[in-house]
Amino acid sequence: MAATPSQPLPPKEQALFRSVVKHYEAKAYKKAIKAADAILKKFAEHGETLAMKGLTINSQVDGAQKDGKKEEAYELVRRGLKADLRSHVTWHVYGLLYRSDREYREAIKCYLNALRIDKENAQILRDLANLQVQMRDLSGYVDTRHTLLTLKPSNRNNWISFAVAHHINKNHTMAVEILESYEKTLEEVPSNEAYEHSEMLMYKSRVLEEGGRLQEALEVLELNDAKIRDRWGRAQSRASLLLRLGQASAAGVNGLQVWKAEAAYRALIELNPDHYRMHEGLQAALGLRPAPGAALTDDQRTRLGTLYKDLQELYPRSSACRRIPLDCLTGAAFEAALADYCKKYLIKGVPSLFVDLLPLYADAAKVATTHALFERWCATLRTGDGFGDGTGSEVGQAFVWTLLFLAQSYNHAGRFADALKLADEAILVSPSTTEGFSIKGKILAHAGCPEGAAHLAEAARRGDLGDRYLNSMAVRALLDAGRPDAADLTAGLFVRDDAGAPPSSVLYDMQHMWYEVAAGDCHWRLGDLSKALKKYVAVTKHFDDIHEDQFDFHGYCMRKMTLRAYIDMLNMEDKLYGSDYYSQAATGAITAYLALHDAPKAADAEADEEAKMKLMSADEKKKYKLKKKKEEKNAVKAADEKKAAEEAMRVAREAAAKAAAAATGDKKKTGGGPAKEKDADPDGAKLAATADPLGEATKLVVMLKEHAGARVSTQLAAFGVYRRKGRLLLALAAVTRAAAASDGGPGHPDVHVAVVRLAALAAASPPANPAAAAVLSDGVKALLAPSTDAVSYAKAWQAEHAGASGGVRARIAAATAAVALDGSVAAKAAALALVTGSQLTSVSHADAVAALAALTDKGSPLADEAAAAAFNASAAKAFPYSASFGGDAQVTNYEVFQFDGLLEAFGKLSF
Amino acid sequence: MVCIRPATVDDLMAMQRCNLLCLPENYQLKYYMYHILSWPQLLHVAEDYDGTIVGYVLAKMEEDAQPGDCHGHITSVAVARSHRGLGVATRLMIATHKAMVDVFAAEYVSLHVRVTNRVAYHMYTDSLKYE
Repeated sequence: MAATPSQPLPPKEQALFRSVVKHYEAKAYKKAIKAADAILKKFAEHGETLAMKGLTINSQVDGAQKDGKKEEAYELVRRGLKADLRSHVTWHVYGLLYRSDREYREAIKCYLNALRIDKENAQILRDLANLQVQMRDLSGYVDTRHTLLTLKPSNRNNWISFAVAHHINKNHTMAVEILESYEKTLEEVPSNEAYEHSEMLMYKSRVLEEGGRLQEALEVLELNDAKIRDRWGRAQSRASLLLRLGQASAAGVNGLQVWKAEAAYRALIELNPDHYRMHEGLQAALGLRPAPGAALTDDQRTRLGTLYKDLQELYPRSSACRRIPLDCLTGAAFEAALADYCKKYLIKGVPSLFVDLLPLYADAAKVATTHALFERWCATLRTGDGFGDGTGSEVGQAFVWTLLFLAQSYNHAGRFADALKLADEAILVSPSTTEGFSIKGKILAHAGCPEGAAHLAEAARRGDLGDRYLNSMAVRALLDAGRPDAADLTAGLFVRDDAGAPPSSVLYDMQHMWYEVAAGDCHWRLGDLSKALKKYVAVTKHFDDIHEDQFDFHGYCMRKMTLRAYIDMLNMEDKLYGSDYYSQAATGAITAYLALHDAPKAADAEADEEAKMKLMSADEKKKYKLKKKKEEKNAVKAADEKKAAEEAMRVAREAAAKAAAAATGDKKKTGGGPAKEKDADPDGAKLAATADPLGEATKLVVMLKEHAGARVSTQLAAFGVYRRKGRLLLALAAVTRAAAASDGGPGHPDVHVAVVRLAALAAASPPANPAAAAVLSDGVKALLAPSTDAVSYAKAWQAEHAGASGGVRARIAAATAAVALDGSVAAKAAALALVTGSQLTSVSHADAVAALAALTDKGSPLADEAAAAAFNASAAKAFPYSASFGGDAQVTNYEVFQFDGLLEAFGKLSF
Repeated sequence: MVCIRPATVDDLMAMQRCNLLCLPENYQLKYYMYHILSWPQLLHVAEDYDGTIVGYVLAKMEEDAQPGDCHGHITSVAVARSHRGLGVATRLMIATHKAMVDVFAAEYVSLHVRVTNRVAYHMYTDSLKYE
């Protein structure tokens, strides 16, 4: 950055200005400011100096305290700009300032202004290009890269970047042409650039493939065989290209290419016989994949059987070659193959056998065969007769693992009594097998006893304190059991931090998403909106950070030539916000914001309290006040105890860390390091205190609609927000999309309730604008069709979905809809009868819990004590193991841990 | 049972999840991105039959190596306890070693392991012949 002549400085100050820039770039911020002040003493309104001073102050702010410094930085830069509008430096600095705050659109504007003054400034052009690709301003990116290439065609990066720009702008032809022009400029590729050249060739093949030029893509791979270093990547691309070429040729199938594809996939399987995708490729080349939407034909099944018999002989150690045929075999052949497959793993004690076979359970006949086989084995192993086939006692750990397999299988089938019996037997046979406890815990969780599940997960954790996997499972179980504090402390055992930051903040730094989503759900169930919000919002922030992360790689990958991975990264970032974790966290946060919006304000609660007191007699008042006081005292006491436990924990953890560090001689991790900035809002109180919860929810809804619009959860969340905002057309759009979503549809219980609510709203308060009113009424009509009014629609829906065989969720939905349409006592009684009359034999535990909540929750339209009691009684019979309904068969034969005093296990921990 | 294959960018979040599930040393996603965007062929994952990622190896080439001292480094390797007993970690290591040699012409590989981590220590010194 050199001073431009619009505000010329004398030589001494010019030198000072150069030193400002130099110090800034070297991050010597104090010196930079000192030098800037020296100039400003004489030339108070020197624009570029003011701007540089602002930028420097901004850099000081990053990561440190932010008391008004940010404002000062902007103020200075803007003053500098005003003083010298014709300087590219002031505009560039303004752009850098916006960039540092991720305000990319504003930054782009500033750079463009800077370039108007200094058209060929390569540094500004490069910065602009990075911003354009970050914001996916692809045509702008192409233009900027073109300018850069014209300025310096001798630079390899400029060629490659220009090609990539055209590629992501979907101009594959141009991209290939540029790569080829660049290739022509190359002479001998030096050996230290062999990898980069190889990556460039693979990239070119990929661009050709994406542009539909499969034959040429293949030729790049064939002609450059010797130059390509990524042997696996080349072989895989080649096989896939051959397959596509063979399948795409006009008269059905091109025999030669298909034959070559088969050979290519066989060669890949030779290299890695367990690679599932390569097996799929081979099957496709042989015509052994089912047609879209169809099942395998008998002929295909037979041929697959033969294929895998051959492959098993070729690769006797490959598990994939024996697992894959289990999918297509049936009857006696299936049973024989299954027995052969399982024995080895049972003898060795491989815990994952059950999840490995679980996909087979979609077929009821296979479940029956598997159960029969394992029941036979249990019996023979129990009496010391091995697998009952004369193998005798050479069965290793087979007995305990056969028990555990069958326990998991029964659990999957909902046969909890049988499952628990086998899990208990396994624990008795081998108490040191932690999986016995884990599996028993999972059965309890499935049967409706999360508290028991948490104690068993803790038992498993204590079986191997150094194993974080067991720790993670325990954390999960504690959260499911509604014990967020114990979960935090347990998770904290694997958090090593010497700065004394609380575990939750370290877990946040590590983007621990599953934990935060589960913790958010846990706090939500406990009714703690602030803490729930804190966790959900944390996850949404991780996504913003990950989206931001790509910034540094736009230039980096061009230098490294890792262009295929770069393109994959851009694609990943483009669909980032569509990921499950984001949806879960964002819908969770929206639900919490809506609850805050609906909740009466604190002042109202006080008024309620006063009203309540007024109605009481003097004696009642006294009792009530005493009770209140006692409650408050208890709360204070509990908080104090918790604080003391946490402090003790911290001390214990520090001691353990010190001991571990001393043992490994690890100096750099102990002590030192700046203390981490404290989280100013650890419990989310500030988040929850937002003046505009609906506005916060709207921001998240907009993101979800853009990236996960096909999900029913997104559209239901959008409906929840827009109906509260009175934006009925947007609410209509949301319900319409929910009714069209593949995981929603008009039969979805929540969609049904939304349709009825929307119809009621449209009737009660139609938009004033006649055009809007017409759109709304047409849209509602379409949702209700073939019925012509909400009442008959709801009746028809109930008949179709909430009849004798209808699930309990459908019945709740039908009841909720009925009550929404008819507020009479008789209507509510009929609705409640619908719910209490539910058949619970084939209902999931979670659905039954949701039904009870609908009958008990304050504010639920179906809240009714008598109905709740009736439902609870039948649920207790249907779910005897469940703690939710007070069933009479609740399991108690497990060790109970004091989760409120977890300290005892801590000292033993070492990494 | 489990398939070992080269990782893609789309696997990174599942790798991070697996890491947080299994190991005390954790990294932000950007660090995984840095690895795959620098040495795309070295990262491998272990995939369950239904496609779940149950193990991974995160590896790199030494950047400041002297000429003639080209070598790889294992940043992190993990296998979920639920998928033990299948030799997954060993197979992951072998796969990344092969890629280091084939693609980057590595001459040897280095790694750090806590001596208290006996299972891992045994695997490196006995099965994989680390010195």
